[in-house]
Amino acid sequence: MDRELHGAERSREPGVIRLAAVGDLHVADGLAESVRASFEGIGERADALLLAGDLTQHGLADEGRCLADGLRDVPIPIVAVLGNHDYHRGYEDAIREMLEGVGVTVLEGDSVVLTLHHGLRLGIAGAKGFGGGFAGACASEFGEPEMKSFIRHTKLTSRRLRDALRTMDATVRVVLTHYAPVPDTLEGEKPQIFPFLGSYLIGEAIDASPCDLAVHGHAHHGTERGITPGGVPVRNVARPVIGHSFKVYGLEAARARAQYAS
Amino acid sequence: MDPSDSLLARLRQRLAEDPRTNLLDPDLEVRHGVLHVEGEVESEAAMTAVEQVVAELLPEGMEFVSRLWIVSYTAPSGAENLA
Repeated sequence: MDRELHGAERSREPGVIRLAAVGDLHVADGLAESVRASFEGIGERADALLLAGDLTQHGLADEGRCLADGLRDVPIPIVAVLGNHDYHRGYEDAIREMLEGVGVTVLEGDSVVLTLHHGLRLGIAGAKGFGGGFAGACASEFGEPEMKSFIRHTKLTSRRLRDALRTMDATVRVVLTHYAPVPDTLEGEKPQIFPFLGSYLIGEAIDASPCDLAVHGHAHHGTERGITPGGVPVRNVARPVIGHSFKVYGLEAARARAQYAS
Repeated sequence: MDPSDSLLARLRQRLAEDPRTNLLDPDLEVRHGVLHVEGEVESEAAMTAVEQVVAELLPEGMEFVSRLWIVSYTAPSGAENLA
C-alpha cells in the first residue's frame, strides 16, 4: 500500500523535481557528525533524498543509531532501502526502526508517494533486490536447495518491486534498489562477480511499468550511467562511483506525463 | 593458477568476513613478492583493522605495502537533468 508524505513547499522551478541520491554510506559507529556534514545544505539543492542501501558498515544496531542521528536534521523527505551490509548481523529490523524513528521511509517491496512543491507527486518503489546475474551468465532455480533459495529470493524481491511500481500513482516514478538492474553500471567491476551485484530480473521489473529513473548502489567500482532494455535511465549512486556525498538529478514532470500519455 | 591467487582469495574472503573489517573493497595485488593493499576506508579505525587482518594472514617473510586512504566526500556542484 502506498504511503503519502508531504515535502516542504518551496520556490522551485515548476514541473521539475530535484532528486538527491547516494548509496553505500557504510556508516560506522561514531560517524554521526560525518553523516550530518555530508548532507549540509541539501535542502537548498534537492526536494527529496534517496539512500540506496549499505547504509551501515557492519550491520550493527549502534551503526543504525549513529546513522539515524546523522540524518535527524535533514530538512527534506528521505526514502531508503537497506543493503547487504545492513543485513549482515541480523539487525536489519532494528536499523529500519531507528531510521523510521527519525522520519526516514524504508522500502522493501513497497512504495511511497511524496507530494512536493507545486503539488508534484514523486513516487518511489523500492526493494533491496539481490543477485543472480544478467543475460548470458545468470543463475537459475535449479539443483541444490541452496541454489534454488538464492534465485527464489531474487525472483521474490523482483516480483514485489514490479507490483509496487505497477500500483504506484504518481507523476514522476522512480525505482530505488541496492542491487543493480542492468550490467551497464557494473562496468569496471570484475565480470566474474556480476552475478553477485545484480540481476536482470530487477531490470525486467522496472521495464514492466512506466518509470523515469532507476537508482541503485552496491557496485563501488562500477560506472554511474546505464539504461534498461526498455529505455529507463539507470544511475549507480554508490558513493565511490559518484565521488560526492550525493548526486542530484532533475526530473521533468511534464515530460513524464507526456511519456505515460503516449 | 598463480600461487599468489589463492593467497589473494583468502585475504579477500577474510576481509569480507572478519567482523573487524567486513570490507569487500580493497584492491589486493602481489608484485615482485610484495603484497600491495590499496583502497578507501571510512576511518582511521577501519584502516588499522584492514592492516591488522592482512598482517595476520600474510605468509611468513612476505611484506605488504598499505596504500589505504580515508575518504572525504563533498556535495556536488551541479545536477544532471534527465530530460
